[in-house]
Amino acid sequence: MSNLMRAEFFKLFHNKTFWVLIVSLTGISALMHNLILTDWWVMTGTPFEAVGLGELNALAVLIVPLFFNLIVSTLAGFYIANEFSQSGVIKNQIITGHKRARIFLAKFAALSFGAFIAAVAIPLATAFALLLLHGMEDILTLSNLAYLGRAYGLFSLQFLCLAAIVLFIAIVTEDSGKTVIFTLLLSGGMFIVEKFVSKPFIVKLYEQTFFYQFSQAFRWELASDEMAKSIFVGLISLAVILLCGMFVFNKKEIK
Amino acid sequence: MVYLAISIFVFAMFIIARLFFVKKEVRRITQQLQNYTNRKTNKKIDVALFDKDVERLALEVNELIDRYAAENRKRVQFEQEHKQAIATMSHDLRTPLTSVLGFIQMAKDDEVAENERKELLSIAFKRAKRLEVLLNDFFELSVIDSADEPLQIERINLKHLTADVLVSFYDRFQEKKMEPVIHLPETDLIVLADESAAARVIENLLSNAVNHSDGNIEIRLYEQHSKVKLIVENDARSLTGQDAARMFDRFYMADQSRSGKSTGLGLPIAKSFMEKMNGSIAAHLNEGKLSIVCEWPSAE
Amino acid sequence: MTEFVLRTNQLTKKFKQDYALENVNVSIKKGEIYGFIGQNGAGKSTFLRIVTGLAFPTGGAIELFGNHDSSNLTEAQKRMGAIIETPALFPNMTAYENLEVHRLQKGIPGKACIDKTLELVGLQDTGRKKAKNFSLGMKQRLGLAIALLSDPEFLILDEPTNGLDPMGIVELRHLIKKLNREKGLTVLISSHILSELHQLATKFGIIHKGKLLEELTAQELDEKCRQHLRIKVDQASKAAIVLEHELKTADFEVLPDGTIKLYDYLDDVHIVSRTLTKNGLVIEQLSQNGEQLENYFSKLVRGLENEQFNESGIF
Repeated sequence: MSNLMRAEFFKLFHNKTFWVLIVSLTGISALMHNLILTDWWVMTGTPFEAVGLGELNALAVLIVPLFFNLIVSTLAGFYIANEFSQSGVIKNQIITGHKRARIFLAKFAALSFGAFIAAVAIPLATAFALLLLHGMEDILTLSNLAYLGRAYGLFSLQFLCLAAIVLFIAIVTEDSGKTVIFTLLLSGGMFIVEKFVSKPFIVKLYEQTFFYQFSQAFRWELASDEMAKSIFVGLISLAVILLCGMFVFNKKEIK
Repeated sequence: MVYLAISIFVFAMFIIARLFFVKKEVRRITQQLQNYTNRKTNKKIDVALFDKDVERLALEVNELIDRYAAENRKRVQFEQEHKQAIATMSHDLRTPLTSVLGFIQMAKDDEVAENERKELLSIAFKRAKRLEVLLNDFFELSVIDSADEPLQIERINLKHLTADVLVSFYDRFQEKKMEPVIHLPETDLIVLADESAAARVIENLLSNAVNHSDGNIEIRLYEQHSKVKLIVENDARSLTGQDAARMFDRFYMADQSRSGKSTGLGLPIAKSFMEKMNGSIAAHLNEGKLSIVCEWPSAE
Repeated sequence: MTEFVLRTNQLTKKFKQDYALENVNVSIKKGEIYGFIGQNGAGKSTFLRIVTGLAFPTGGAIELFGNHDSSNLTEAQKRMGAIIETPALFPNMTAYENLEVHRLQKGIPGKACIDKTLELVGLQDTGRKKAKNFSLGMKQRLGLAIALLSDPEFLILDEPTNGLDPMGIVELRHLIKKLNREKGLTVLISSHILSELHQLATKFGIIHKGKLLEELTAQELDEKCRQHLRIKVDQASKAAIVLEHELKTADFEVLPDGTIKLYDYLDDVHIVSRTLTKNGLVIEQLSQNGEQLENYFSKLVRGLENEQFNESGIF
């Protein structure tokens, strides 16, 4: 297992798409944070403003599912799906005689790591760096840090679920373009459900998914039972999606 | 204080986890070695590549497995070659033997006239002689190949040796009305070789050339890039590229001798000797000319 | 006891209605070079993909190195190397990096094996050149290097000569022979051209439309394909002299049972029979044997098709 992980990370760090994402996200998020911090761009109604962290408003853009879905699916498309269709290197990996479930998990680890770096760690890191640069680090009080820690902790858990689903899609479609399209369709569908569907049954159902938890994670006040539910939903979803993924991958015939 | 305790705890957990993984890898290596020893597998060791020392251990084990496998392989190959040699020999001896027997059988017939009987017997005798040559060659090859008789590699003067052998071939050249073109260098050429083996090689090359040339022979001896080269060249218009490529293959040559194209295993013997002397031998066919090139390491 | 590297028992693969493989029984012994011959679409790749664990059979069983249950099969796959269809490479990595990925995946200790393998396939001088800029022949070599990196006991090559120039094919053949001789490597190599594997394979399996038509050793194939006259007379030794003396040929062999294989006079059988009879020999058998390699192959394939024709009741 550890060898598979090392191989996956080696591949990830030699993947062009990964570096393109890293560089462009560093640029974009630095630019956005800068615009916000210099009051060039004013945003209202973000969860960060609600907790008195208006300086970090740019992060609000980066936690919109449609946005980070694009990042995860692009990475999954060019890093995972291409192994099946374009280069066919997945054949070599299967022939090494590792259990397929382990190959799947190793890919999941590398993909979620790569996507996490690009979509979560970099925006946060640039935010802190720019706060320091502008001398505004005093807004990071202990309670604010605790909030950010809790919010991003929960967010990351749900993020893993998303990465697992995208991996699943990438393995089934075997094509980078389809991976991106299907992922966006999925998150678009969820967005519609969230905003425009008012049928109580469907709303109730939606509230049990990890998609709903993405927005829950950034609420200022979260009761402990709601937090437990968030963790519970995240863990169960993750386990179920990974098991489904492994099952499908196990039965899959490699072309 | 709390931070210190936490960091010590984390550090301790890290060390314990590492110890656990290293122990696990050691167990895996043991298991794999056990399987190898019990001949359940011939696979080399693989390890989780997280610890340099574990990796180096596995590397050394694999090195050992490589050596062991190579030794084994050599033994098996030797046995196989032996078996094959015996099979080929009996195969190659059977056909000429059958014809010898046939001639004798015909000669035994009462109806055969006396002079015809004599002729038949003399053919049978010639065939039997050729069979004897072939058998001797096989024997000689097996002696060269067995490691029991090491060669005495020493400094010898190849120019003098070549000249001596050429002189001994004078009668045969005369017999065939050949006037070989000979290029020997002015200076002495000292090589590291076994004297009698080198003489045998030159004899075999000359004898091959005399027997098969359908024109003239050319012999050249010179030094190049601290190698001493002996080239024996003769016209051989009937030869094909395949013949040239397989000239030193004993089974091929024996095959050819069956159909009367060759008299024996002179070239395979020369090759065996050359290899034992750390030299090399090769045949090239160029526009109907066969040149056989021998190389010895120069002693200077 | 002979060790089998691979055995399949009634291996079957069905896609909806069609059989890609139908009850295929292949057995490959240790140290063999097994030539797997069939036209394109005959089921070669399907078979190889099942053996390498890329696809799954719908019926029958595989035995690899004596293991048949699924987890041991996966473990046994660690002992082999394979190229299936096209060589699978990371286009943005160099040859060295491609091999490093595979080394990590397989857990092979020491990076020295990478340089050694690159040298073996003749790619040691590619340096920083990325795999996507390789020629087809170089890609094939790199694919081969990946398959050989772990020093496998069993090598599977699927149409490895596709895209190789004639020189490359010769080199590949030499390399396979060398590894087979020096390391006892067992090889399964597929091709749609029988003559390409002739001189290389020690055993042949001929597959057509998912069915294994015949398994035969190289000697058996040679026997079938080298044209000769098979002569059986009452006195073999006398016949040998007659051939030599009267017909002036020495291109024949006497087999242990006294049968003579004559490689000459193939078109003049009547001369041979007349001469033998004239010399008082009684001919028990005189037949022309052997045919061209590709003829033999197409005959086999045609034979099957006629058979199916008959079965379907048209005739």
